[in-house]
Amino acid sequence: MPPLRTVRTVCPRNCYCTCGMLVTLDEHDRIRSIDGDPENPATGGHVCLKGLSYARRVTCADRLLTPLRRKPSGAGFDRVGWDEALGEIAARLTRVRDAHGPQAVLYYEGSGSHGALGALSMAFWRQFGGCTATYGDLCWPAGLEATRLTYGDNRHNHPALTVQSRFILLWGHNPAETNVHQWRLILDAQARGARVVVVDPRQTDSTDAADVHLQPRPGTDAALALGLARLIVEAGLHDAAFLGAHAHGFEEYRQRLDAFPIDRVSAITGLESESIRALALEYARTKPALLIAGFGLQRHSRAGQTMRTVALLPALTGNVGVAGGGWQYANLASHCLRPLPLPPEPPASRAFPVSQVARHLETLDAPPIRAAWIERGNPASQNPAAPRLRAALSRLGLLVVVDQFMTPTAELAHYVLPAKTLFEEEDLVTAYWHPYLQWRAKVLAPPGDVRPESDIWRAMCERLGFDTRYFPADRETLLRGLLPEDCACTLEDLKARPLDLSGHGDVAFADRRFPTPSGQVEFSSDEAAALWGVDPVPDYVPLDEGADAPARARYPLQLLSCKTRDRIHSQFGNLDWVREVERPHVLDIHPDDAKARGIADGSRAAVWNDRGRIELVARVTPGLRPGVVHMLEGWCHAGDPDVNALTAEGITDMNHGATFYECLVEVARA
Amino acid sequence: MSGAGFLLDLHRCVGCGACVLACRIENDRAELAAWRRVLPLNLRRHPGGPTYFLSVACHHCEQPACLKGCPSGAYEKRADGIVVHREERCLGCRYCEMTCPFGTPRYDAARGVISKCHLCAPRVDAGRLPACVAACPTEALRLVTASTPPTGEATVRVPGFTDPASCRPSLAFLAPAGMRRAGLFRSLEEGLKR
Amino acid sequence: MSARTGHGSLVTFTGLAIAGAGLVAASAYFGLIHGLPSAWTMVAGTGLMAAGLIISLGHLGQMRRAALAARGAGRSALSNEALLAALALGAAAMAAAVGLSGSDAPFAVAAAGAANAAFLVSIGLVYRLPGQLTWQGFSAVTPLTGGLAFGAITAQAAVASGDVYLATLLFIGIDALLFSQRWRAIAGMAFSERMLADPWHVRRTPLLAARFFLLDVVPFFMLAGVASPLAIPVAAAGLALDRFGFYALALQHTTEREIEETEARITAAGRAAPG
Repeated sequence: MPPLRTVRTVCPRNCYCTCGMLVTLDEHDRIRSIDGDPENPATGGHVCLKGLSYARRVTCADRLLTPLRRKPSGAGFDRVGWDEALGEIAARLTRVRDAHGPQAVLYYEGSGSHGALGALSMAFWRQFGGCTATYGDLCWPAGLEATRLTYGDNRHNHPALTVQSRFILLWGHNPAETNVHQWRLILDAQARGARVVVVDPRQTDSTDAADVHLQPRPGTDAALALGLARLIVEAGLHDAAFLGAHAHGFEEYRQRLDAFPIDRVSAITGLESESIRALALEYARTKPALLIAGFGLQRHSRAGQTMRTVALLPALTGNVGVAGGGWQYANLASHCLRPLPLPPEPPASRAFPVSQVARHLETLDAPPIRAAWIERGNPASQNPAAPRLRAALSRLGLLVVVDQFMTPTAELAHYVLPAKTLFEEEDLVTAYWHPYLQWRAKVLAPPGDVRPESDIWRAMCERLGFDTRYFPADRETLLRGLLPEDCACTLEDLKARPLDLSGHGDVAFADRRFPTPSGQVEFSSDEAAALWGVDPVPDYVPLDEGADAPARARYPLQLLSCKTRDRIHSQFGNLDWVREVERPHVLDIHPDDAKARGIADGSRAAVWNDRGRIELVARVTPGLRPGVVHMLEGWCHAGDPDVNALTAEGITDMNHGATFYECLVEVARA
Repeated sequence: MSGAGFLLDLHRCVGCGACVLACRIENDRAELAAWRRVLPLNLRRHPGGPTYFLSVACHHCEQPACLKGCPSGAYEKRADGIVVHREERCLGCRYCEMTCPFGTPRYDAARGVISKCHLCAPRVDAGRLPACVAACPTEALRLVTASTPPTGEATVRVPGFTDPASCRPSLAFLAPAGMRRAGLFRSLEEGLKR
Repeated sequence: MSARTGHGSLVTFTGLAIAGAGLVAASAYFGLIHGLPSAWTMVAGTGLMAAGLIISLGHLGQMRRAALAARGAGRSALSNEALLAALALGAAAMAAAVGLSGSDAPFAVAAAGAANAAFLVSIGLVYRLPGQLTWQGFSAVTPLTGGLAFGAITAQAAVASGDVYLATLLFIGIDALLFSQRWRAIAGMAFSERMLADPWHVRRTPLLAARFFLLDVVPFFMLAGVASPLAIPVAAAGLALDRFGFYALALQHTTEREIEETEARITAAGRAAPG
């Protein structure tokens, strides 16, 4: 039997797990198996279905293998060579810059692939003279900032400590779909007697297994959190000793709680008073208790303040710095690499919030955007106001898209450059759930004419006569130089196993040192007020397009567009292996709402608001609460409806995030 | 259940399909019909019943209908309980597709033969787990053998799974738990007995 | 139900084999009991069976391994049927040859009759499977009764010079009685979602009725009115519909179907329990 070789690598997707992977190949470089890397203590011996599907993805017939140029007629693409493609692109970019300035070019990078080498694009753009880029993030920034303002840093306990919890509260989080390793650990804890409680407007795979499920109206979580806090304090169950030593602004916070008696909270959230009281008492009494908040909790305009109210509950109950306890949102412990050496930032750089691409493409002036380069993202499907974004991209004089497949964004391009997959270039990959830095080995040569982005940028620099010293031929040397200065390990150590270089222990804040302005947990934050203009003590503020908004007179249904384990956003959804096992493409609507509108199960429904209209099949789903409709995000194939025809280009109250879940609609028979 | 087979923990299975993909990779079935499938029960979460998932492949029955009915003797039951199909004896008559009450055998039209899950016999013989079991990220799917039989709480009859009486499949289940789910599961189970 | 591609060839070869074997068995009956000449009907029956068996080989994914089909004798109903098919064909050919040569060989005729009747029974047994919901009960004997009815109608018309034998009417009557039990059993099955989506299950009543009328009712009245030769194509159409309906209305129990039924119970339970 000819020898097989096994290579250790890591999945670089925008996903909590960032699984260590072992890929086994035969002598023809065919993948014979994909397994979890047992050397990663958090992800252990498993990957998920998406990780397994790489065996299909890398050789999929739809994969782009050569550069493409839009035909002169506009319909379809011709294959072209790299020299021709990059030569033309470089010439056209230069013309735009010379006529209108470098800011007339938009450089957009999404979260489609993580790795330190991604920053090499800036080696080009900075020498180009700058460009227009985006700031903020479509996903998690409000929660990151809320955690930073409260605790000083985004770190949490090592995932393995989950099994020591006696009470696990999942809030706006569905780990059975979005973090399967965390889910396994939660099930292990539950098997040992831990209670699992989920707060989520929908019934999900996570709520099915939970011991208690609360289904509040979307966007009312801050009221619930403050109401729970009030009940805990009234019952004397708050940790007075911890608060006395480590809380800043507790008195002001305590006064805020007066405004949240249980009747008011019940009315706002739509939850039974008894459920609220039971949760407060059980959470406060069961130790240690772990509170895991998902990103879904903060996809609206009051995100930051909402996250602060929830983040304070572990501190209130003395669950901070305790194994099996804590606040868990994101763990940036592995983000310890030094920055890539890059040219200095030129003065003529401009940026706008990433949740408002359509608006800025339409309205930016002095200069307006005339050209764009998009890589590692699919904004034409995934960003708010996607149809307007598509229209704006279509009007550009030059659009270059780098991708593995012909996505809706790539379809609009003048040039599509074929992107590598995770197996085709080495890199260093950080994570945001576990603390491990991981080496992504090069497993396969890029197929066809595919070149990694770092080679594309080097070639672009060569064409324009820029300095190419930022692109050494040897990636290992470059990456080795990014390891932290005081790091005791070598790159070889890292190649042998994932490593935690953070220097923090397994229990976050065990030393009770909080890098906040006061050095304590900030129940009242002047920094928040100064930076973001928000109330120093967090409050519940109703959403503009929320459960109690006047707009509900016209658009009475709150639309959520949640995530599924079948995809990472719009990735993987084109693979036949995944489509065979994926969840159906339907609009979930409650029986009461369906009946009121004469919508039968399985029939076509139209969903619309002022921003757009889509049609899709309806599934009558008793598991929702009335007044809430749901469809998954991330569909982008021919015939799939795009939920982002309906979402708004809102912005979170802190840190420039997006507001996907703040979306009112009406639904009718189509 | 006296021989090799599977134990599925209905509480832990989230219906993700990793088992299906792992089987495809291991058994070189990229384009062919998968040997394993994942069947959701009550995905819309109707309050009249529980929601869970059945991951099923071949059940390596104690009295396999495929083996009994096969005219050419292409099926064998090994001493350890694994039911294997010998391709070189297969006529491609597809009778086993009719006799199996679970829908297990897969016909490959291009090659004119049947195939099915063989519990990754080569891996099991080498002391490894079947690919599906190894891949399951929540450890819901497990291998059981004569020497490592299912635990006491396991049941062979669950709502949504064909009555095992006729063939005695080697597939056992652990019941799902959860606030609503445990009680709904028990009610549905009661309904089966009537 | 089993989504069988190649369903067409199953219908054809089982139809031809049943028609042929029924004709041979009925010829043997008329030959032995009523002394009618049976050589040419034996030849026709043999020809039909041979055609059916040749086509059945084409249905196999691995035609060249066909001989392996005998290995399961005793254990496998399909293996038994294959062996009996060979035996029945051989006996029919022998009886045909003997008959054509002019000799009187009651044993050859009796053997052919018995072997072909046994073959018809074995066909029914192949399909009597626990997982096949519409092939239970009396569906197992309809190859025998339908084959005999067709065979009797054809044999009688070919050699009886216009006489109508009570036996023919009885064969038709028995088939009508037993097939109506199959019809009743199927008609009593509640429609599942899967059945509602199937173009033949939703037409099950006309399909079953047409078979009943064409193989039983119409030939019965045609024979009663002494229009015997025309009854043959009518009965042939009825037999073809019998075979087509047998496979088109197949309903295989699978785990998918079990789930579907369970979900129907869940929805019903939800309606019964308020809140």
